[in-house]
Amino acid sequence: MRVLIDKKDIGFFFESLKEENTVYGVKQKEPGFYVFDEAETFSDPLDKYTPTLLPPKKYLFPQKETLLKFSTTPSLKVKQLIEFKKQVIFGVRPCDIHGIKLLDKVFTTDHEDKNYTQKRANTIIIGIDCMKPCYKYAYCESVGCLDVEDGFDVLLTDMGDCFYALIGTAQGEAIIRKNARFINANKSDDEKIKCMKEERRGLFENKFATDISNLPLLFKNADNDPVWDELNDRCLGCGRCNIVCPTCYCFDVFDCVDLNMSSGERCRQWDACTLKDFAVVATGENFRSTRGQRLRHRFNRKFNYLMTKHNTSFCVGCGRCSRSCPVKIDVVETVNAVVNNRKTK
Amino acid sequence: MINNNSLYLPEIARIVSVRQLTEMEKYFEISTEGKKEFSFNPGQFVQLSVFGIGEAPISISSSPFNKDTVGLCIRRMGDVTTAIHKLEIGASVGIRGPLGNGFPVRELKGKDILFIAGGLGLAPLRSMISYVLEKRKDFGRIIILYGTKSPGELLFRDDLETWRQIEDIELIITVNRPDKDWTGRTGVITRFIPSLELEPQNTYALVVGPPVMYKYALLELQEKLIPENNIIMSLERRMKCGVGKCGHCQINGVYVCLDGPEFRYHTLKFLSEAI
Amino acid sequence: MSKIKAAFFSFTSCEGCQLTVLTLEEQLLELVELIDIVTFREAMSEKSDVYDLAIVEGSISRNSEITQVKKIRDTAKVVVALGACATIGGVNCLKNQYEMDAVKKIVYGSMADNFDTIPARPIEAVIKVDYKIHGCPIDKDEFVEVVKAILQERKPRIPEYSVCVECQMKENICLFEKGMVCLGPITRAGCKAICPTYNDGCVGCRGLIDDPNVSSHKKLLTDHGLTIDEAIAKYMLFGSYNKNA
Ligand SMILES: Cc1cc2nc3c(=O)[nH]c(=O)nc-3n(C[C@H](O)[C@H](O)[C@H](O)COP(=O)(O)OP(=O)(O)OC[C@H]3O[C@@H](n4cnc5c(N)ncnc54)[C@H](O)[C@@H]3O)c2cc1C
Ligand code: SF4
Ligand code: SF4
Ligand code: SF4
Ligand code: SF4
Ligand code: SF4
Ligand code: FES
Repeated sequence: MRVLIDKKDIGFFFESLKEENTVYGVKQKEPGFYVFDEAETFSDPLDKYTPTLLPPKKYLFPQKETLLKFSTTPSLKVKQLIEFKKQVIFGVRPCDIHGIKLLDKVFTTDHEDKNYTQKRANTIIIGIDCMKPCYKYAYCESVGCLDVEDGFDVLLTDMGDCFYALIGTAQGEAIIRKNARFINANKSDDEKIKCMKEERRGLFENKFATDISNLPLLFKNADNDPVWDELNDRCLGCGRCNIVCPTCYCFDVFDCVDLNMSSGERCRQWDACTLKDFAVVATGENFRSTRGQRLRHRFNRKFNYLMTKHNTSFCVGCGRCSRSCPVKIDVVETVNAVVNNRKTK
Repeated sequence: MINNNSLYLPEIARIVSVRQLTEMEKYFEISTEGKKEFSFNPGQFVQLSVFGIGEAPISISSSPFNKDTVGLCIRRMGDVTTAIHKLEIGASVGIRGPLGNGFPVRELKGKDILFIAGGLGLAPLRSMISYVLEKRKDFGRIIILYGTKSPGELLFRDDLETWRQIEDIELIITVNRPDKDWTGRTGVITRFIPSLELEPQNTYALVVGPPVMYKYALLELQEKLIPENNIIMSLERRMKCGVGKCGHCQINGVYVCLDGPEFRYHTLKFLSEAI
Repeated sequence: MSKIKAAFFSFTSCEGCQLTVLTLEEQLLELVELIDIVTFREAMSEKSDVYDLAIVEGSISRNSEITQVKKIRDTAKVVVALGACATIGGVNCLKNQYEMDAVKKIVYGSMADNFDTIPARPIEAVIKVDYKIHGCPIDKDEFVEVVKAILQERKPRIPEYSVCVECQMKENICLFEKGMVCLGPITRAGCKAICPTYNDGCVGCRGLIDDPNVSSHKKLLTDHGLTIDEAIAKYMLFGSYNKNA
């Protein structure tokens, strides 16, 4: 199903969703910098926003989350905690929809992580399609993440005076019927969307020097590539690239006792594989002791290890890490350096 | 039944016995008191919780035929391991598991087994040795190579004594730094591989020890023409979740907690960060 | 279990870190359930010479302080360095760049000869320190965390990673993207990135992370318009204590 929602009715749709859900939308924090945040009324800069400082994953896999609560006196009691609420994330870009799809894979493959899946099951995703590169760091097209077929409940496309809303799930259809004022879209609207999508092709100039499917093998053979030595000299090991990434999901787990020294909780918190202690064990060994090795690991996770395991790129091309890195370590440049160094071999 | 339990929720278990093995290691038997039967493969591990301190991965050291209790041999290293050393019989802890895969026991049937244990490496191997002894006729030769730094660090001395007295076990014990009372073999454990007469195609080597040991053990085993598929090593990495999520234990494309902790050399040789 | 007896001591510092402890309010009430505070210059007057835990603020910058702090080490089972002055020498070490006589003149004028001053140093340069609570001033929660760690006999959860991690988790806009400079990438976190959160560059009061890439960071500062001297001055504010000097 696909419908048209008049632009003046989008605020109504947004606010009507608030009756039963917490609704998160995009806010401008300072000129040029956007964040997802709880919004009273609809004011989203939907048409012009660049990827938010943190991806919407923070609502599915929060920075810090309690896994267990325990008390040790009079006798040991342990209770699991799986927190979730009905929520809508409004205005999710294609790259971030892909990011969430990848997290869905990660948290359901091998074992189901209910702290994630319960939040996910109670989340409605309203996407907003991109018709041109959002900023110079974006290379979503190069990793196949500009086009989205699923992973959203509703996907909006700006058609000037109205939004074309493609419905992806039964839940999406239900909220459109219940919460939106709409008219049905017709064939010519579909055609128009198709044309717009054709036209955006090629607008994305930031791209890899090879097809993404070649990357796992290229990276597999690039363990000793000089690029890692260069990055070792440049990288600050600050961890920002991990923290801002929609597909990074490593975490640390730790206990916190209350000041009564008998009750407390076990929490998890985002961790980052570029940090020095990430792989250190109690005997002091560090299995990735240099910044170069740690960055090699991070790139391999995106383009080799996880890509091989899940058969899809684990970078969605949002460019957040390239934008955030204080010393401007850029994914496209780095990947292309690996590609070119392999070619000249 | 739908299981709504969190992946991270441990079972509560009680310490039913504590034995000081050496200055640094204690052996704990813990039990969920009938609430859960412990079926596991030798080589699997548990995530052990001391609430308020944290969790640590610990190999199961006991026989898989004992389903009432789980035996854990724990070296006092850091926060969790020190905290558990302070606990006594009756104290409650948490365990998640069994985790990991363990040794491919079915495949090992009918084969000669060479156990190579360095230091604390005997902890997971002891479970496998118990298995092999229980099903003795299913296996060929049993050779146990065990080495520690000093005589004082030898674990499970009563087991060593029992094994020594079993005729069809070849037991070689060595220490790097003998004291004045030591009358046994000295030197690093890998020194004793060359003198073994092995039938390489029919032999499986199960190797567990500190990271430095693997390189040398490998060289010697390859010298003996043991096939890469038959060399199985258990690796130690930092762990948090134990279930393939947190990323800490990752070596190249594999997760030690999920895909290991035992790996065959023919897998490991493609992992540049493994050994 | 008998309660641990804790004593607070103050050497060369502004005593702001002790004040921070006093602002713990309700938590302070819970804390005194766990530890007995026997000496506290800011809060109590009576002194006691029997204590298990010494919480020492300030850097050592006189010969007499060396003797005092050694005595503290002999008495206490556990010594905690409280705040940047105690953990890394702090701003007091800025004077180490000058000749000591000149420093005395600047600080004490004509009275200079009556004072004994030596290059300032962190507590650790004189005695063994068991726990460190970083920052100028310290973070309250980290103080509580260290007390709990001492009671539980474990390592405290003090971040080894950079301020950037906390800063980004709070979704701050990076100051470098706003044309400012910041020592966050090479400074140890734990302060919840308080300075960048209030639009001020981190000045490194919690000390460096392990294995910092200073040369790359220095280039980052100069690329953002600082001269080499200005960059070095940034590092010196909290980083001027030099073990080898
Ligand atoms: C599969 C496996 C089996 C093991 N079996 C045993 C055993 O049978 N007996 C035994 O004494 N030890 C064993 N270890 C090592 C043991 O897990 C570590 O000594 C222990 O985690 C240290 O935790 P800690 O809190 O005492 O130390 P700390 O240094 O305080 O560690 C803090 C945290 O870091 C992580 N960590 C640190 N070192 C390690 C490490 N080496 N491995 C994994 N995580 C680590 C843990 O999450 C730990 O909670 C095993 C490790 C692995 C990976
Ligand atoms: S690696 Fe960088 S570009 Fe790719 S998804 Fe993560 S933040 Fe975005
Ligand atoms: S990276 Fe691509 S998909 Fe993501 S916001 Fe930018 S243009 Fe849209
Ligand atoms: S953001 Fe840049 S400097 Fe920081 S860890 Fe990542 S690559 Fe290194
Ligand atoms: S403002 Fe400072 S601490 Fe925050 S991310 Fe930027 S460099 Fe790091
Ligand atoms: S941001 Fe930097 S200067 Fe500010 S409190 Fe934290 S460590 Fe200290
Ligand atoms: S321990 Fe978390 S992924 Fe292996």
